[in-house]
Amino acid sequence: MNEQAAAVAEVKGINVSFGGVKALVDVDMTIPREAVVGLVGPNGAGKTTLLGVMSGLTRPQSGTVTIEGTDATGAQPQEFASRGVARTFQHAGLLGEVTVRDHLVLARRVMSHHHHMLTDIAGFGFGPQSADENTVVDEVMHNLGLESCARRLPSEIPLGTRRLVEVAQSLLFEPRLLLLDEPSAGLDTAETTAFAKVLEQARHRYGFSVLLVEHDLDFVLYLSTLLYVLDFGHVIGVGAPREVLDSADVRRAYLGSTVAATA
Amino acid sequence: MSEQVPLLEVRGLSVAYGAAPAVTRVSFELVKGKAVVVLGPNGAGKSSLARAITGLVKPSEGEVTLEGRDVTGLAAHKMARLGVGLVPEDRGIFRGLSVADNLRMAVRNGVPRNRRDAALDRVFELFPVLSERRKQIAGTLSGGEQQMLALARVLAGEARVLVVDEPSLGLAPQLVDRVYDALRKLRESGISLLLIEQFVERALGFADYACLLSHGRLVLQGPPAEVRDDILKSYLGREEESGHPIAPAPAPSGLAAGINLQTA
Amino acid sequence: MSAYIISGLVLGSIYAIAATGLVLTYKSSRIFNFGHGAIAFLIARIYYQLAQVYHWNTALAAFMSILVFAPLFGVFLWGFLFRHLTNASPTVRLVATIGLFVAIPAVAQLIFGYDPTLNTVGLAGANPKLFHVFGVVLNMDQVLVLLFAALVAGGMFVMIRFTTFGLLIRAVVDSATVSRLVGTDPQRVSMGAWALGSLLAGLAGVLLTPLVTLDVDSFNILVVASFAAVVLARMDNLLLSFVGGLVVGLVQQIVTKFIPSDSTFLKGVVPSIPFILLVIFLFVWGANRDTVGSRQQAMGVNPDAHQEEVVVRAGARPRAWWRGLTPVAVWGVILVLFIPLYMNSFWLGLFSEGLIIGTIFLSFTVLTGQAGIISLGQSTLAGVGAIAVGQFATAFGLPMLLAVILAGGCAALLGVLVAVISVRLGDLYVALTTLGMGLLLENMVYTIGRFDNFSIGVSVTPPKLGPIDFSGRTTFYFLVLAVFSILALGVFNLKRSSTGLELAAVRSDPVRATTLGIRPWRLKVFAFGVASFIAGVGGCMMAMYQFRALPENFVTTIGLVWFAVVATLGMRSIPAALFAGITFAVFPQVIADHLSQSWQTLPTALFGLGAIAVARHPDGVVAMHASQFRWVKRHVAMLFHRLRHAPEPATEVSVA
Repeated sequence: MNEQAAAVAEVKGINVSFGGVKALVDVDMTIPREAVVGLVGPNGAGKTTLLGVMSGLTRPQSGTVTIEGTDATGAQPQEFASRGVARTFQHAGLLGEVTVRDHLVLARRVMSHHHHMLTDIAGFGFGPQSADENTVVDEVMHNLGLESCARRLPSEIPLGTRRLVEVAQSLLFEPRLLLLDEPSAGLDTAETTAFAKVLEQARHRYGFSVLLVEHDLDFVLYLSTLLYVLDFGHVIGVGAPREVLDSADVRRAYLGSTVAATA
Repeated sequence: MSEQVPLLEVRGLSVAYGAAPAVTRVSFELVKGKAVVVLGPNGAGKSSLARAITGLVKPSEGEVTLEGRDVTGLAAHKMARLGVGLVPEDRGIFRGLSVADNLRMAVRNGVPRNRRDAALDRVFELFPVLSERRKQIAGTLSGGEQQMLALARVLAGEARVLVVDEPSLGLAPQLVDRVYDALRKLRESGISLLLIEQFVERALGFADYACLLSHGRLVLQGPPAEVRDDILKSYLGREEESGHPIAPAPAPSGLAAGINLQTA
Repeated sequence: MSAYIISGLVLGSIYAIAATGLVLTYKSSRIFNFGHGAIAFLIARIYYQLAQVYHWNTALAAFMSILVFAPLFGVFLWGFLFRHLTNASPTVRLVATIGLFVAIPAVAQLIFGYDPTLNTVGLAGANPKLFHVFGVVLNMDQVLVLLFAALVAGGMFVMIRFTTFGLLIRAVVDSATVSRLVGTDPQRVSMGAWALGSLLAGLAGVLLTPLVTLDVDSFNILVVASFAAVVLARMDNLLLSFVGGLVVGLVQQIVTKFIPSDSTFLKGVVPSIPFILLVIFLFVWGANRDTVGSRQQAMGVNPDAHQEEVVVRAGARPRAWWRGLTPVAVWGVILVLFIPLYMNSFWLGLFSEGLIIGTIFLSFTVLTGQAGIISLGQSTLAGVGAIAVGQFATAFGLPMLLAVILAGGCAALLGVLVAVISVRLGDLYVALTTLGMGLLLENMVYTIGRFDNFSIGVSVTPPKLGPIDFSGRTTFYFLVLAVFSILALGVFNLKRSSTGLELAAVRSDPVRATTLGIRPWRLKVFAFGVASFIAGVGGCMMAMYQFRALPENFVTTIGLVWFAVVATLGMRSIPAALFAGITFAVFPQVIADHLSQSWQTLPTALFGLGAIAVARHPDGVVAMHASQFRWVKRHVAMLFHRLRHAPEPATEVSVA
C-alpha cells in the first residue's frame, strides 16, 4: 500500500527556531488513518510547536507538511482547517456570552460557508443556514453527551465539559485529524477517564485520527496506538507506546542520568 | 524531621487558574539546612506550587508560614526581601542586562550597603566564570552559565530559603553536576533548599526528603530511600488492566528490546 | 535655508522632549498615554496662570509648574489610574488614556476659565533677548528650547546608564517578573517613570507656549508629532524617539520653504506634516514586522494580549430573544409617541440631534462592541458623509436618497482603506492610524474651498417625499427616527447572525478563530466598512439637521469625545448607543439651562472622566452603578430587617 495515501498527515524534516532557540530539529512524523498518535516529552521539548506546525499556526524554517496527500507547507491556518485539521488549545477558549449549542452552530456555519456578511445584515442570518444544520448539530451534541448543557454558558459548565465542547466544535468540521493539546490538564482522574471514553466513541463513529499531546502518561497509554517522544526538539522514540516508554533513551530523558555514586 | 523547627511550612495549599485547579491541598515542611525535592511529571503542578510559595501567584486556599510568620499570598518582591529566593524554570535573570547589573539588582534589596561587596565577592568565589564575564550581556551566556548566574543572583541577595525550579533542565550532564555541586555548597552553608525536579535519579541522590506530586496532589512523601521505588514506578505509566487507565497495577517491565528508535 | 533648519530644530526639540517622556512611560508600564499632550497642555496652562495672571517670578513659576506640579500630577495619575491598568487589556488602556485626552483639557478650562490666553510668554520673559547665530536671528525662548533639549538628551543618557533609577528602569523593562524576584516592586519604579514622564511633558508644554497660542487645538499638533516620533522609534528606543522628534520638526519646517504661498491647499500640508509622517511611519513599520508573532499580526491579532491567568467571569444569561423586546417597546413608545406629543419644537430638535448622534454611535456598536476595534476617526467619517451629501445632493442635484447612499458609500470606502492599512498591526495602531487620518483630512480636505465655502459650508435641505416635507421639525424627527431604526435593525441582524458569531470569536480569541477557519482580517475590514457607512449616513442626517454641510463641525476632537461618551455608557448594545446619543445632545443643554456659562465644558469633562471610570471597571458604568445600587439595596434591606425585628412594637415607620 502506498504510504502517502495511508497517512492522514505527514511532516518531514521540520526545523523551527524562535530567535536563537531551536524548538524542533529535523522532526519526522506520520499520522496513520484512524489512529491515535501520542506525543509526549519533557517540558519545552517542542510538543506545542509541533502542533502549531500541524495546524498552520507556526511556519517551519524548513521541511514539508502534507495533509491528506497534498502539500500544505506554509499554508494559512484556515486552509489547514478546510483540509480537515482541527485542534484544541490549552486554554479552552470558548466565548463567554454564547451558549454551548451556539458554539456548535458557529462551527457548522463557518465550515459550510453558507452565509454571507452582507445578507446577514439584511436579516437573513438568523435561523438555520442549511437544511441539515439542526440535525447535524444535535447529532454531535448527542454523541458527546452535551444535550443537557445545550443552553448553558461556558462559565456554567465544568472544565471537562468545556473541553468536550471544543472537541464537538472540531467534529462539526468533519475533521480527518484532530489535534488535542493537553486535554487532561486540570482534570482529575475521573474526569480524564470520562473524557477518554467519549473521545474513543467519537473516534470510532467519525473515523478521524488524533494527535494527542499529553503529560498524563496513563491517559496516553490508554488511548494511543503509536507514540512519539520528543526531547529538546528531537524525536527520541517512536513505536508502540509501552515499548517506547521502556526504552533506555526515553527513560533517561524522563528520569535523568543516574548519579555515579547514589546513596 | 519533625524534631527540628521547620523554616518553611506549607499547609493545605491550593492553586487554581480560573476554574482549572493546578495544585490541590498540598502540605509539607522545609527544615533549616535541609533540601526537599518535589518530583512529578509535567503538568503535575510543580511550578505552580513554587510560584504560589514565593508569591508570584496567589493561592486559592491554604497557608504558607516562614519561621512561624504567615506569609500566605505575600507579594513576590516582599518574599524576596524576607529571604525567600526563587530560581524559576526560565532561569530568572535579566537577559538584556550585563552580569554585573544582574548582580547589582540582586544585592540592592535586603543586603545592607556595608555587606554588599562581601556578598558579591562570595558569589564570584563560588562561580568564578561569572567573574570573568562581568560585562557580558546575560542573554549571550551559555545555558550553564545562565544557570550559574541565576543561582548567583539569589545567593547574592542573601536568601535563606532557595526554591529552584528545574535546576537541570536543558543542561548537559557535566553542567548538571556543577549545578548540584553548587546546590550542595549552598546547603552546607546553611541555606534551605526546595527543589522542583522532573529528573528523578539525580534529585533523589541529593535530597533529604522527597515528595511526589501528581495531578496537583501530593501522593507520596518521605525520605528518598523509602519512596524511591514507588516514585520510579509511577513515572513511566502503569500497565493497563482491561483498559482502565487508573488501575494501580505495578509495571514489572524493565528495559524492553526491539524498539524502533528514531534519532535526530 | 538655515533659518528653516534652525526653526525646525527648535520645533523638533520640543517634539523630542515630549516623545522621550512618552516612550519612557510606555516602556516602563506598557501603557501608551494618549493623554500625554493633555498633560503638557495642563502644565503649560498652570505656568501661564502663575507667571502671567498671578505675576509670579518666572523662575519660580517654572519651578512650581514643571518641577513640582508636573511630577506630582504624574504620580497622582499613576496611583489613581495607571497602577490599576497593569493587567488590563489593550482596549481598556486605550479607553482610559483617551478619557484623559478628553477630560484633562476640559477640567483645565473649568478651573481656569475660557478667557483666551493672549500674549503668551515663555520662560524668557516678555521681551526675550535676541541672538545672532549663523546669520539667523533667534530669540531667548528658542535658545532655551535648544538648551533644554540638549539637557534632556544628555540627562536621560546619563540617568539610564549610570544611576540606580536608570538601572531599575532597565531591569523592570527587561522583566517585571524577575524584578519582583529580586525584591524590586515594579510598581514603584513605574511611579517614578510616570513622574518623570509628566515632567518632560510639562517641560515640552511650557516651551511650546510662546510659539503657539495656548489652546487645545494647537497642542494637538504636539500630541500627534510626539506620536509620530515614538512610532518612528518603534515605541522602543529613547534615543531614537528623541531623534524622531527632531526629524518631524525639521521636515515640518523645511517643507514650508517649498510651499508656494498662494496655494491654500498646500498650506494645509504644513500643519499636517506630523500626521502624514505618523501615517507613513505606521505603514512602514507595519510592513517591516517580520517576527515570529507576525503571523498573528497578519491575522489582525494583538500580540500584547495577556494570557496568564484565565479569569472566567459569569456572563449574563441569554434571555429568550423576545424578552429583549421590552426595552425596545419602551423606547419605541417614548420615542414615537411621547416625545413628539409633549416636547416643544426646540426640544424636539434636540432629540432629533440626539437620534442622529445615536445613529453615528451605532457605528461604535459595530466597530468596537462587535469587532473590538477602536477607531478615533468616526467624526471624520461622519464629516466625509456630510461633505459628500452636500456635493451630491446640492451641487450635483441628485435625489436625496441616492445622495445619502452614495455619501455613505464614500465614507465606507475611506473606512475600508484605513482598515486595510492598519488592521494587521493591532489595536493601538488602528487607533493611531484613525487618529492620524482624521487629523490629516481635517487639515487638508476640510479646508478645500469647495467644501468649506468660507466657513459657511454647502447648504443642504431635507428632502420631500410627495406631500411630506421633511424640513419641518416634527416630520424631520420622524425621518431621523426611521433612519435610526433601519440602521439599528441592520446592526441587530448582524449581531445575531453567523457573522456576528464569527466576530465574537475573533474578538475573544483570534488565534483560535483562525483554526476554526475564520478569517479575522476580512471580518474586521468588513466591520469597518459597515461602521463607516453608518457614520457617513449619520453625517448626512446631521447636515440636514443643520441645513448645511460644514466640515469644521466634524473635527477629530469631537470624535474623541464621542468615543468617551460611548465608552462610558456602553458600546455593546443598541439601546446604549441610543441613550448615549440622546445624552450627548441633551445633557449640555440641560447644563446650559441650569448652570452659568463657566460650566460649559462640564459635560465633556464628565464624559472624559466617565471613560476613565469605565477603564477601572470594565463591565461598564451601568455595572458599576448596578453594584452601587446593590449596595444601597442591601443596606435598605438591612434597615428594613432591623425595623421589622425591633423589640418594641413599631409605630408606623415609613422608610423612603
